[in-house]
Amino acid sequence: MPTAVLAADPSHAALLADARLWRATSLGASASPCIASGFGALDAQLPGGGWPTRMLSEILQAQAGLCEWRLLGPALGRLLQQQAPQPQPMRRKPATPAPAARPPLLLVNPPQQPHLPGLRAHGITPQQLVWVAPANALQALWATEQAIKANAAGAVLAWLPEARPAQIRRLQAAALGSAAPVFLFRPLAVQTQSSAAPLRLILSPGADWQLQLHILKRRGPAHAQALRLEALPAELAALLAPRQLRPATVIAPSIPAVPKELSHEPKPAPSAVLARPAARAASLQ
Amino acid sequence: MTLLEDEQAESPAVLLELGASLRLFGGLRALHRRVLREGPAYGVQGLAWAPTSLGALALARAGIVDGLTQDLTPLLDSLPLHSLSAVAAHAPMLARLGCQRLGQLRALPRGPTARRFGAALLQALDQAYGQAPEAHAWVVAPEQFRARLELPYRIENAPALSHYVEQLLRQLCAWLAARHAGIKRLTLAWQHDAMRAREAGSGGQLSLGTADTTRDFGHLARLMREHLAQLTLQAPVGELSLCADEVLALQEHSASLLPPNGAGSPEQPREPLNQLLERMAVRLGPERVRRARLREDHRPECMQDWLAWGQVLPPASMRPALQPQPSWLLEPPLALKTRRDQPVHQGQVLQLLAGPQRIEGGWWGGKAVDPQVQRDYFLARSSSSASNGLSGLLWIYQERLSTAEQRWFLHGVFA
Repeated sequence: MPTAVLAADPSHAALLADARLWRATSLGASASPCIASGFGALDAQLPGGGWPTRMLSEILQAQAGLCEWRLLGPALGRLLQQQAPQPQPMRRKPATPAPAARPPLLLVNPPQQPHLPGLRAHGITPQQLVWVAPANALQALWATEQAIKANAAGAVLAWLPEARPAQIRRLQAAALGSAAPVFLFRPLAVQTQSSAAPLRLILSPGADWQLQLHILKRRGPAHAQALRLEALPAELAALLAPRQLRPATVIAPSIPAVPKELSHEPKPAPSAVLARPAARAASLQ
Repeated sequence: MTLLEDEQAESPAVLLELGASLRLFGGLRALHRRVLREGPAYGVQGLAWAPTSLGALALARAGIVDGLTQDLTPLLDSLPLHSLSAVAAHAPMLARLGCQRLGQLRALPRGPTARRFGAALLQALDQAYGQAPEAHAWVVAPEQFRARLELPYRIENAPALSHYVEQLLRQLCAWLAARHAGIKRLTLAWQHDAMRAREAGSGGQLSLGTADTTRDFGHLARLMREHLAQLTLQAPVGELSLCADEVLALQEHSASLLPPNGAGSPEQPREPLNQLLERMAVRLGPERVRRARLREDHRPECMQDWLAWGQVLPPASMRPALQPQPSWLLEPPLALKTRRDQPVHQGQVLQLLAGPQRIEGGWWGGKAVDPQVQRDYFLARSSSSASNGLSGLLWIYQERLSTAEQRWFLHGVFA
């Protein structure tokens, strides 16, 4: 029965307003708690309002190791700094419970070596990171599956450049029991393959220190435009001059070529020289 | 529940006094079924119940199971003399007297029997029939654990050993439970068959260590299976032995009677993190599961040590680095080509945004150990707008005072 017909009838209005009915045009809610991503624009577009748990989140990149921490750093830092809530035991003497830290992050097969002094800026301390470096793709898949099934880590980040759809489906089945978020990083070439992950994003660095996100697949309507998120690490902002915070508009896009032979032509008029960068900038915007 | 082991008889027996613990095991029938089900794995061949311990022993040797629902005296009367070890010692003499059964022995006059055969015989008889109290020396677990198992056939394939190794592990876990202890290191040794090549040696051994003191049979069995999966045997194996090297007291926490509440508490991990990392370390190699320890150093590659995860010491308080640090570090640094004295990465000329930060150090170590570095670090970005900054934010450096052809290197990415 078309929704328009349903909506017209007042007796069905209560049915449509019921929270248990999900319409395909609305953004789905998530049954399990979601982790706030730290970017308001992204949270508004993700079902559940944040990074989901109990399922895979797949992030596709043209090149691994470019901007993962700029995207995930705020969310993971906040997640790891939360104290794990302890179930209070019944005791005769009220003892002060020692605050338990969250379990650490597991990085499986990262493209380069993680540099902990840099990750400290996101709030990740050395005790909270375990680096698993498997020798081949099969071991990487095994390690990821064991990490997901054990449900012991605070979050699992796995770089799987050679994973196939059947293997992703198996990881998704394992992730249904994992209370921690699981992020898979795969190459951009697999965007045309089907994947069992309920959330798929394409991540690339954008102009002006932004991150550009396309949401390929989510529990909700398709998202056509790209999301642009401001993701410059705060300490770098202190290093850069104000004009470098907007490099696309100010900095010359390419080094002008040196002419093959020095010509003795008169120099072009000053107005033309000054006009050149601005004209290029105008063409960019 | 207490145990007694009777080792002097030809077939060893274990006596258990269970009257106080029947409810814990779910009643008599449930316990009986459980022993019959799990006993054969440990080599149990017979089981008998009776109100007295010697009576139960006698019934077990004769093959009668139930001495509780029926009257004990007529049952014991019909048993042959060798059912009780104290009586079996005098069996030939009693046979010449015409006694074949315990009932006939009981019918003999007590005084002359005691004078002739000793008081121990009458004492055992009275204890078996329940007319005299029994006192036993109960079993104390031995100080050291060492168990041997002879395999029923020669095994060439290491994973096929896991069934037999698990029997030894079960004994180990039972011994640990009796001593309220846990294990940190154990050694599995095997003996090769006598018919083997000369260079194979007489045997080999495998040492298994855990990070936490544990007596969890499941975890030890899984770790042992991982080790055996990677082992190749030089020759067929005929005998196994297990020895506990490092045994420490284990403090078990009592479980809560209340169920964990649904929404508030986090879900308990299905496998503790240490056990997961141990299994990964066994399968992938101990150097492939790493944790870092920070060090105070100006050179970025020396700011942290990556150690195997079990080795990391507790953290000292470290001062944060002076300048912003990247999140990925390329080790070893990638040499960059230059185009007109500008560094080039992935075909694009890099534009220097901030810098230079001069880092020098390492002069104290000597050239072989810690080469001296003199570098100027820059924050760089790919300058072509067409690539949209594909290289991201890079951290490159230039070697100072170097005469080498390539002086620009890529060291990190602000990812």
